[in-house]
Amino acid sequence: MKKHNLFVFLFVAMLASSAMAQSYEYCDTKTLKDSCKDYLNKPYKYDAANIILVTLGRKPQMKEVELPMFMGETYRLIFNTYALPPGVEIHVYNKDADHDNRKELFSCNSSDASKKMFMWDTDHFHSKLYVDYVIPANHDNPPAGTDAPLIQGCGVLVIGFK
Amino acid sequence: MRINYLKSIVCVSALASVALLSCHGNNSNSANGQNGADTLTKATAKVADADQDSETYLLPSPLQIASIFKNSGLTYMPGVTAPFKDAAAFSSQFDRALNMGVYSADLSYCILNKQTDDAVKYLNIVKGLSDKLGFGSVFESNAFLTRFQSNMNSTDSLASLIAELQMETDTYLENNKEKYIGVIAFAGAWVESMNTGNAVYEKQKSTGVSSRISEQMNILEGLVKLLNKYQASDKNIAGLMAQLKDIKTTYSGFDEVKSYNPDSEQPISLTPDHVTELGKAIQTLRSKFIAS
Repeated sequence: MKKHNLFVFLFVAMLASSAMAQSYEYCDTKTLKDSCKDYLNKPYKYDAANIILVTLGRKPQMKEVELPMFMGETYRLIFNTYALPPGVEIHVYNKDADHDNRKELFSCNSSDASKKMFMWDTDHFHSKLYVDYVIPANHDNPPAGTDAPLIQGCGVLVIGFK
Repeated sequence: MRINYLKSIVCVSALASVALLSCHGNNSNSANGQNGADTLTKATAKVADADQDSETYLLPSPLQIASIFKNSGLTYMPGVTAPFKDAAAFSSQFDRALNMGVYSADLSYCILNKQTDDAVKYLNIVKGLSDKLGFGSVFESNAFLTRFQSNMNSTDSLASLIAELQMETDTYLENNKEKYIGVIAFAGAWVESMNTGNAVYEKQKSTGVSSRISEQMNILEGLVKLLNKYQASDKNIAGLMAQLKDIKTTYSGFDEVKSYNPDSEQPISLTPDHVTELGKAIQTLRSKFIAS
């Protein structure tokens, strides 16, 4: 009986550690946005921000955000990936996902453990930019027999203009 | 003996779980600069019901629109901005939000054109409207009025302060599930900026301003989409959306717009007559906004 209890406890402990290791439910948007301020120094000024909320599912997902741009202006895009689950790819394109001939202008990935803040300055005029978040699948999320999503997170994009 | 071995494994597993939890706690703290359990609990609640809040379209700030017009040669023209009013003159939340946008656009226009006396008056109206809308604390927590007064001689510092105020306001509205107020305010700011651009264009006939007016029309589609998303938040949004759609219809009917290649990276060059026609439609709408 004691042996059985120990096995149950062992199983629960391992499950708990695994679940906690995968939990990214930290999304204090104010603090995440505020941490972008350090990258928004002169001559850049805050223009707008976007919060993307992510829940990993059994299938990969893609979320696209359209950014209007204006001729002759220079923009700085700051991505804060601290609160994103690993494996989320961020790509910036000149056209939306319906275009085959679109050009990738910048990319980064939330898997990079050593770097969580990414910055990109536009170097050429585009009337619009498209930020694609490619969110990986997680086949164990949610665990079998439940409907509750497990791995969640959020990404913050702050845009500055000169 | 075997039981002892299993006990050891259990201890190691438990320690590993604690260690993993600690690691994530540290990551969270380093990312958020905050401490511990409170942050985690609060943030979890936000995420749980927030997925619908992800936007697919971003609106620029009124300051950026004013800056674009300024960079294209838009000069200061007295009497073109909205008349000064007390915040108490606006009775509904919708009118307050809409006119907060109008006055924010005028505030940016005055700052960029070094009209600091008027800028202070507009800032006070914006502050009054923010109080009425329930987020006047944004001004107080960052001592904006005091900092504004002490930077009156520097256009760049004032512009940076306004940008900071915009960031704080956006964050407040996001955290309090009132993003629709920001979208209504942007509609007011956009119409006011376009009205200013058109009024100055009619006097100067600057081609730089004209192309910027057509460029701004790109924003209208996104604005209407966002208003549509928040339609249930305020009964007046549907009417505002219909009025903005009418302006879009006027613009879309112009020959140069119909024949425009959407893959072009140059803005549409509107004929002077079409700029005037568009300007009149915007002026009519703006008159309704400020009369409210």
